[in-house]
Amino acid sequence: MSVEAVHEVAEHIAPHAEKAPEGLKELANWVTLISEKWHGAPWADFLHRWENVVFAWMIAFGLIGIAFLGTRKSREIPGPLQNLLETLAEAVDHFITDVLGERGRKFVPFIGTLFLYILCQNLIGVVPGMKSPTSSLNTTVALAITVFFYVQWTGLRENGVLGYIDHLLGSPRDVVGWIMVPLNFPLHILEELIRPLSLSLRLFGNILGEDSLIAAFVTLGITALAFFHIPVGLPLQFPFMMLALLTGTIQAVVFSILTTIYISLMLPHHEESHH
Amino acid sequence: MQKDSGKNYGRLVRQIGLVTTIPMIFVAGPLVGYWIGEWVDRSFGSDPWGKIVLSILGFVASIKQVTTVIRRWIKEEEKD
Repeated sequence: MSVEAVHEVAEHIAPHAEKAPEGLKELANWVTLISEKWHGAPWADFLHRWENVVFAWMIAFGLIGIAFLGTRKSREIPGPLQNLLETLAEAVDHFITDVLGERGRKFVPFIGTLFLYILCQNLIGVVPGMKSPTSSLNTTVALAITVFFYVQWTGLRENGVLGYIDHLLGSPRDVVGWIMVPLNFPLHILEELIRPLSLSLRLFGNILGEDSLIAAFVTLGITALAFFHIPVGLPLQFPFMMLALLTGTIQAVVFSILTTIYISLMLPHHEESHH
Repeated sequence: MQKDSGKNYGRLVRQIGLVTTIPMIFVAGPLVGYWIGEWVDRSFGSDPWGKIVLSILGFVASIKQVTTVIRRWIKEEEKD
């Protein structure tokens, strides 16, 4: 059997390894299967076009549902789900108040939700038939823009308008400080704009890389057994799935840490030094 | 002891994450500077000076941001 024939068999057995627009392979999910089955149907095309949003909403509603079920009937001696949720909330609360101090508690809902949402989005790509919405730049940019506006709003709320402008000018307090303002001001603006770009690019790059690697090894595993004409392959992707679990968690943690750090940099300086 | 190993693992995860952040900040800085510079050049006809100056400023801003993040992180580590 020639190499071309093997490729043909592998493509036939694994049509799920479709080409992403960027030229990278990605595994098929239930949305792509539906759009293939009902090809041409407007609703199927619509689902396919918005598949990242579909998965993102699925996760959001899943999290809302779990939170609702876990807290619906709160008891002093918690059940398993309430216990899990309380442990999670406590860990996130501890992590944030560690960096921001007691006053950081008001940021726990935002950063905690962000962490859980990104973690689930990253890890869902490992589940067969699912896709990580964070492997799309649109999703990560949306998350980073949310953080950007939240940080700016926190700066305005905590410092006041004048304090916020003073912060952007580099908090000049002496002659040298004021001389440095023409340099500090554009630098500060650029710094604020760099944050959403670096946050979104890092998350997107890492998750897309993982998913592409898994897809490549799934195809390789199927190609390796294509001679037998069976619809199974070697599980070559398995180690990379384990790696994806680790990097997916790391990326969610980093996104939350950086958000916490950006918020802490916006808080009035006396609060920072106090902690 | 198990709590200690969990804490160390958490610290390791955070350290790996922050280290991988640094190159991305260095990429984003000049990129943002370039884009703003392009807009400045188009608006004021200053081609190519807007791009050059703002790309350099973007790079400087990314250095500043990296040092801020590292300094902040060291402070947190010392607290631990």
